[in-house]
Amino acid sequence: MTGGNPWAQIIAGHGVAPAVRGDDGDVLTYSDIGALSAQVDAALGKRSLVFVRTANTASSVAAWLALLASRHAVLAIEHDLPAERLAALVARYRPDAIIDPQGGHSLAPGPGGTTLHPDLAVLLSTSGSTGSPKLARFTAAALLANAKAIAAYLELTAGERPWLCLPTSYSYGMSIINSHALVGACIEVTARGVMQAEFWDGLTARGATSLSGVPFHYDAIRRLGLDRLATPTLTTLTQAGGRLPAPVAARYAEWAAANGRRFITMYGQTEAGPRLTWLPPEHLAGNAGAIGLPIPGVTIDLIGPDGAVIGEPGVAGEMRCTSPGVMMGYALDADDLSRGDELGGVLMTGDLAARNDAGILTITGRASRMIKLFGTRVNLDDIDAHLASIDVAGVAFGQDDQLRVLIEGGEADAVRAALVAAFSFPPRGLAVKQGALPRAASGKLLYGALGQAWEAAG
Amino acid sequence: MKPLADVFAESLMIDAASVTDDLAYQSIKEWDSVAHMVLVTALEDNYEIMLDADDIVAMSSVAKVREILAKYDVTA
Repeated sequence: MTGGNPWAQIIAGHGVAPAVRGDDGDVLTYSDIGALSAQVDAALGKRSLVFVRTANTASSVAAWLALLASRHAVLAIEHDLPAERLAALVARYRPDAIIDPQGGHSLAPGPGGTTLHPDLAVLLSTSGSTGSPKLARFTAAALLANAKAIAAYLELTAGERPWLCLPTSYSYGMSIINSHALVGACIEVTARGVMQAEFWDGLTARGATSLSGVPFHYDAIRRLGLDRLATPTLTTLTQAGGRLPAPVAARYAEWAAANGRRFITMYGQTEAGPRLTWLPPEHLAGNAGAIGLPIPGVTIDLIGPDGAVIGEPGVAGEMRCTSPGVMMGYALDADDLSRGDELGGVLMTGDLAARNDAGILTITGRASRMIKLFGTRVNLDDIDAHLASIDVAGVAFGQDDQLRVLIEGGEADAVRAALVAAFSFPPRGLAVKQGALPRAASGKLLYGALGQAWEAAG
Repeated sequence: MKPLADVFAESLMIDAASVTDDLAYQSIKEWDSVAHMVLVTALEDNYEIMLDADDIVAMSSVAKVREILAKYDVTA
């Protein structure tokens, strides 16, 4: 039924062990997930493209794993994604079915008719909060290789209880699910926010052993006091999804060492399935803010402007990653889903980094139109496209945690409200101003002058 | 000192008229964890207080914030 998908055997091998528990206390076992996989497979009848609308609930995590362990190709979509964005993705990729795990795994038929490459198992959004039409294509084996590497360096066992507060449709959240399902652990998923009392009550009461967060979470915990992390069971803190300032990383490292816990900084990219590096705790001293060393099975070369590999320490270059977790390639529409592997396991990350004498990598800059808004990846091109669709002349730019939209016409408050409604990134990170767009004589937008134009707009 | 509704409106970047007592955390997109952090800082600056962590995580609605502020001898 599930053919040669290695995930099916893994799930089956864990038997009736608990797999996931939600805020309501409901527990689903690995055998429940196997049964769900068979049930969905029977309903679909043939190899299909399935969209699953995931929230941070036990039924969502179970649905994700049931589909990962199936012969079908799956795209997880944030449950909060506005309806028109979902409709646009359905129209573009023509799934055979859309599953909403919140509605008892009800299966709604989609338009269908998309030809799938035999190796295609998973699609990940390159920017979930903007419902980006650009997807990364993966084989089941690639995600398995990445999950195995994560389980190895974090030394995961079936006794782990990861506290999953990251969106399950986000590659970092997915990697926590996959790596823990690999070892048969019980995932403690929560929809509560880090600034809510229920988040902390649950983390303690449910015996969570690890907490994974983006830099925002670690800022928030700093404000609440790190001693809140000193529960009887919490042993591991992991951080990815953007750069944590070195002094903050150092503070956590110090706290972890003093309290017998592990604090681990990591780096990845959705396109790499996603994990690429980690900073082992023994290397933390003196390297706070660094992304560390390649994880098992990954090789990273730094490429200079001339295309040659940089050998000497301290010289920055674009990170080129060779990993079995690398995607097959991107998809921009349904036709692309019939394509095979186009990258051969090699990914140019668009991130610039340098190595120190010990080989520890530190990010020095970025070369793409992608920013992180409190850990949520935002593709600026998607914002620009939406502005165009509502007839607003404007451009999105900014840096991590500061998304700026400068508009030429229209009213700033109204445009801001429209963007908040259209996307699902944290609204507080967005500012809109009305002003003059900097243009060259040719009319071409001068991206480099946007910062100045923003200040001039007052 | 600004009225409480204005502190909320500026922190969450919403209209002051929509700040009612029953407005709750996560009931609108704009009141998420990120905005909550901004709100905490704004409340502390506005009322010149230092909020206890247990109070920060208990501020689940506008009414609850008002109740917590009273503990700091703030009438909002």
